[in-house]
Amino acid sequence: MATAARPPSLRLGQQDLKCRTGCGFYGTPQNDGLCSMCFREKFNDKQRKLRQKAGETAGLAPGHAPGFTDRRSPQHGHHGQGRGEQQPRKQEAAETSGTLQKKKFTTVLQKTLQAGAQKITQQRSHVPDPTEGQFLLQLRQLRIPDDGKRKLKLEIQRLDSEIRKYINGNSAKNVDELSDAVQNAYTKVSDIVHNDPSFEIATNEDRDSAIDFFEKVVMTQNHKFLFSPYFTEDEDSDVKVQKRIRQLSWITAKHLDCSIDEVNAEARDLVYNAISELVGIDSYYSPQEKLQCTVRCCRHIFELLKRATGGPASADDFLPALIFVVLKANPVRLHSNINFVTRFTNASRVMSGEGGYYFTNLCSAIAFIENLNGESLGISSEEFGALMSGQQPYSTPWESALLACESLHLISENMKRMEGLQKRNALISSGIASFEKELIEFQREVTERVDTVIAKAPLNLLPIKTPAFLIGQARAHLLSDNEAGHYQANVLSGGGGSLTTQSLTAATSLAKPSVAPEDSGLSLKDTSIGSMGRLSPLQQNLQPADHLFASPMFNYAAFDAVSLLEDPVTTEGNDGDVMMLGSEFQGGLTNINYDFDLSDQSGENSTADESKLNLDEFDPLVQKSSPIAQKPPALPETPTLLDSTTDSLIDSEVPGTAVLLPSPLKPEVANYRGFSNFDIPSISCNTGDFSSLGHEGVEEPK
Amino acid sequence: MARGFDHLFKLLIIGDSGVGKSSLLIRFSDDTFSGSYITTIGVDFKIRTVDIDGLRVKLQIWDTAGQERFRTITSTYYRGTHGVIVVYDVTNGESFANVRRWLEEIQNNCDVVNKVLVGNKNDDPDRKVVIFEDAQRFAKQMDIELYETSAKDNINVDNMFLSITRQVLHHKLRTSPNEQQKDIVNLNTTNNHRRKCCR
Repeated sequence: MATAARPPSLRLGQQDLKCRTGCGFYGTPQNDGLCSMCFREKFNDKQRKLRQKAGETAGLAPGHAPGFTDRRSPQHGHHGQGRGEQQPRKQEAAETSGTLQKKKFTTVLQKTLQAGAQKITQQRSHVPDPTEGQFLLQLRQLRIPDDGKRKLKLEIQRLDSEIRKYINGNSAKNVDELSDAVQNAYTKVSDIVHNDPSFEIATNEDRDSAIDFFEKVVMTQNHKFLFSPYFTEDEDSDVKVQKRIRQLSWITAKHLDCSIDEVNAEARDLVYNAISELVGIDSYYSPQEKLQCTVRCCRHIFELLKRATGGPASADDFLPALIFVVLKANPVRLHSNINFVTRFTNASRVMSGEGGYYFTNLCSAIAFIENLNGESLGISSEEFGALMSGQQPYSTPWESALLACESLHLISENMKRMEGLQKRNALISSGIASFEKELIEFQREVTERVDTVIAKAPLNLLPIKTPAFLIGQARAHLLSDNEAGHYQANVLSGGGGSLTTQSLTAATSLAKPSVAPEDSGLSLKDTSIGSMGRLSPLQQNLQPADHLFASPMFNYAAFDAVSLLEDPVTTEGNDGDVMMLGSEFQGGLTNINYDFDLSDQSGENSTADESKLNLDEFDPLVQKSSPIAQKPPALPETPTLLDSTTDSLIDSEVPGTAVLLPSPLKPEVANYRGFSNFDIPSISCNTGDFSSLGHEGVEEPK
Repeated sequence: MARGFDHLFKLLIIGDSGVGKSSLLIRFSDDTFSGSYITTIGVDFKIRTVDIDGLRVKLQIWDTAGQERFRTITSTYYRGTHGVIVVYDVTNGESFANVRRWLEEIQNNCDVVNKVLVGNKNDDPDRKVVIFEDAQRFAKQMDIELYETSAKDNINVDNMFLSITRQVLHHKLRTSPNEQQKDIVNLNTTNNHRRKCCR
């Protein structure tokens, strides 16, 4: 159907056009939505009755007949022609349209298709008419003398009545005669306007506008008589050309050698614009408006060609493009419109001027369509015949693009969306890549910094150096005393000082000068190691063989038991400290290393008794308290450590190496507690401050 | 007169496809010229007003499609035409050979006698195949004025248009108002009723 090729604005459903009775033919709004046959049948009886009653209206009837017939759609005409009774039916309609006219008043309101106000009022021209009023207003606005206006009005009325008289007359009608009459009237009006004294003062523009006005009024008022009059073959031609264009739907832009890109969306839009203008020609009444419509259509085509060729288009390009547009538009009542303009517009209008030029091109395009053959399309006549008869299947880019339009639209939408997603995806992946790079960089930076720090301050786990003389002394001591003797010595020291402890302290005091520098070095290392620092004392405690030495001595439970018992009664002072120490060993009684700890504590205890400075130096030497010496700055930690260790020791009696760790803590607590005392500060403060100072010394330069 | 022109002439450009009809037209109507040029509407519908012998003449020049296939349908263009410009391409012998057919076309469609023969693209002597003398002889035989032009280099374009305009004007001035009807294309019976398009 032709409607398929039209832009959406003019698209109508097939159902909207069909007869309401469902007979399959097309109905028209003028016929109350019925096809002409059904309409006639339905109102036949009514009409007959009315005709008998109102005989006087019959006189008017023939005048309205064309108005009725010409408004049938071309499809309808086709349908009528199919029955081979077009002419008789028209005549019958002419006889009965006196009543139809009344019916029209009701049906006219139902019109939806291209019904301008003019068209509606047009049909009621015999009643007081808004269009007429509008024309009167326009007449008043014309800038010509009142005398001239009166003359113009007179001429309008004269031509009006002349046309009606001719249409209503009984003589054989010839449209050429009518056309001559109208053209004569134009010449006459032109003469009046240009030569009459009443128009003397008017400018040429005003004169021209007066002539235009005259033409417009007469043509609009008499459109229904003059447009495709029933005594012409216009309607047949319309049907023929429409049918032919339908048959020619396989023609592509390539056949016509025109530069329209049928699948380009932008080009298609412009083609649609041109098509809608071309189709719109039918909806205007006066020839001028129809010509203007043609001009607009052609301008769209020129715009299209300008874009396609990239420069000014020539007639060599334009005519094929126009033919293409006409073929794709398949405008309704093509011949009727062309003939109406040719016959009844001012002759000079179609012979000159832009409107005339484009109208001429349009006529040429139609002539070409009607006469084209295979040769003129550059194909063989056999192929042409096959395509025309529909034997050869075809697909044109235009039609397929039309069909695929929706899906193509969807595709393009999706493509756009995909593009957006792709962009975002790329953004994300690039972000990921940069983040990855950053991470690697960060890792590298961290390792580098750690490496430099390690390189600057390597962690050296030096074996514990027990001064040789001490070992020798210890061995000698062990050898000289038997196990029991050692035990005794411990007991004695636990009791509050003995000879052995004294000797030990003496030894430590002797070793002090040599150990001191090592101590400071250790503290420095500790700061650099950080977390490792906590582990170091454990390992260091475990490693020395000379500490394990004393492990066999398990039997001195007496001391420990006593200290344990007294543990809860922790009091301040040295005695209390000693008791506390004992408490720590509750679970570690069976421990291998116990000996070492004990000996150490014994030393501590002994030093506490004698001189606190000695004790201070003693700790680093054994490398047990040195890491813990750093603890005092972190005060809150020590109690928790204490608690946990005591808990674990009490709860689980499983002896483990971990148990060893708390034991060296004990003395520190003792020190810490002592720190709160006025007596002791010098002891722990010395160590604590010393190490902490070392910390600051290392960290602050950063 | 407030009209802006004394005469309005419609000229038609015909000739084979690709001989440069549109170029001539564009060159003439868009180029600055001694006459005042009023407006350019569209691309191949050109209007230009020129002064000839102290009279302002408005020219409407209609371009036509030159393709062989459209030859039979261009008769409508001749309606109301005052002068015809027949163009061939001096570098294309065939386009010159077709001139005879174009002239016949004019003969068949209207009785306009004002015409001019134009050999366009006369800007490259090496490529020229239609010798001026041959063309001149043919023009004499057909009783038609010949111009060799180049729209590209703007050679002779204005002269040619002025010549045809003058020819039309003189023709019109020669004929008395009563005989003016002969100027107008004899189309059909309505002819004598039609309003004169040129005054």
